[in-house]
Amino acid sequence: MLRNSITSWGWPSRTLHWLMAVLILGQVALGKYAHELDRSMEKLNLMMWHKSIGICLLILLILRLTLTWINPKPVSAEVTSQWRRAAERLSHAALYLLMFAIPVSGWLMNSAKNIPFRVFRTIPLPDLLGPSEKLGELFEDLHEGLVKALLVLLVVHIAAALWHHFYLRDKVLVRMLKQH
Amino acid sequence: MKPFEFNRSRKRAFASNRFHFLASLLIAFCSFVFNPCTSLANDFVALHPQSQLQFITRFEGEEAPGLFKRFEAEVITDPETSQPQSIRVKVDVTSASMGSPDLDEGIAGPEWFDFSSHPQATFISDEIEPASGAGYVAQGVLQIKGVEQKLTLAFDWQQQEEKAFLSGEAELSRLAFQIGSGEWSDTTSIADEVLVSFSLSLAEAPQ
Repeated sequence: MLRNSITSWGWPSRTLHWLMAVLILGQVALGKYAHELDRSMEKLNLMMWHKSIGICLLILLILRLTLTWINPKPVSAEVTSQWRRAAERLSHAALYLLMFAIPVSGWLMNSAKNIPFRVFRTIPLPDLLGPSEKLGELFEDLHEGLVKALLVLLVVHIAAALWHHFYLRDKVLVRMLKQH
Repeated sequence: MKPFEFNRSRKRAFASNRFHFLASLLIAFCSFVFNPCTSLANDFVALHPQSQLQFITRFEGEEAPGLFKRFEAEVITDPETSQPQSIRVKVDVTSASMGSPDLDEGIAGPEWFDFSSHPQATFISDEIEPASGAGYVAQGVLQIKGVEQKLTLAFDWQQQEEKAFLSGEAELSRLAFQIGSGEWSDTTSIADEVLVSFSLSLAEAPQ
């Protein structure tokens, strides 16, 4: 199934979910590792990959949001309580927001710090801001803060998935893994 | 009495003029022989902040421009032909800025410009010929980070009385001057080619 339905996710949505999950976790580790390195060729290389993957994640997010907008969204028939549905909507909205804000804050940081960059050393990106030391530091702090918030939300997200699977014994987790 | 006195004073005046004439001829001759530059040539110096000395490299495939904010440039011209005869440029390397605190911190280090050991770069040329097309070609020596390299520099020179304008560019290899040594000699992230471009507004220096 290509399309999402009221009960299941199509393969494009499932692929995007897991591809982004792997890339996001890799990005957090790569970003932290490269950030802590001293100035070196290795640091430059890893940062180039980090920034390039970040831009790819932003494009994947736009694709994914488009898919959810043009398709119906699967809902769990089991989830009937108002607050649970609200919590689900709120946490997913926050995840989407962070998946957008984190690469954009990185891009803004790079522009403010005036570090020349091309995606995979080939595709030029427009500068979102003029050089500014103050804004560079501000967006650096913001980028880091947003990643921390994302990690907290991911713990909630994974815990909720496991809770659905093992405690509520519904199809929420399985539905994201295979065609249901 | 009157005509006699007049005559005598004229004679004295003539002698005095003759002395002055000979003396000035002697001074002119001596200055020509011993120091032709200061007295017979015109000396132009670069004005700030109108003059600019820029360098452009490539960082991750993207153009990365920088500036040397402080430098001195002097051009000596032949007063007969108004053609430039010699160029002397002194660059305060520590004034280099790429408009990014991260990059500026990097280029100051010993593997790059090495600000603490080599704060000054120079270009000196006393061999300037008109180019086959427009402009001039200077054969000179460029010193950066203690490394001296011969450099052929093409440039434009426009002179209007006591003002002049000089501009041009040269492509250099940073590795030839050991700028970015050690692991930085890898050119994957930071290219070897650096385009140096300059546009100087000059004014005749008081003699």
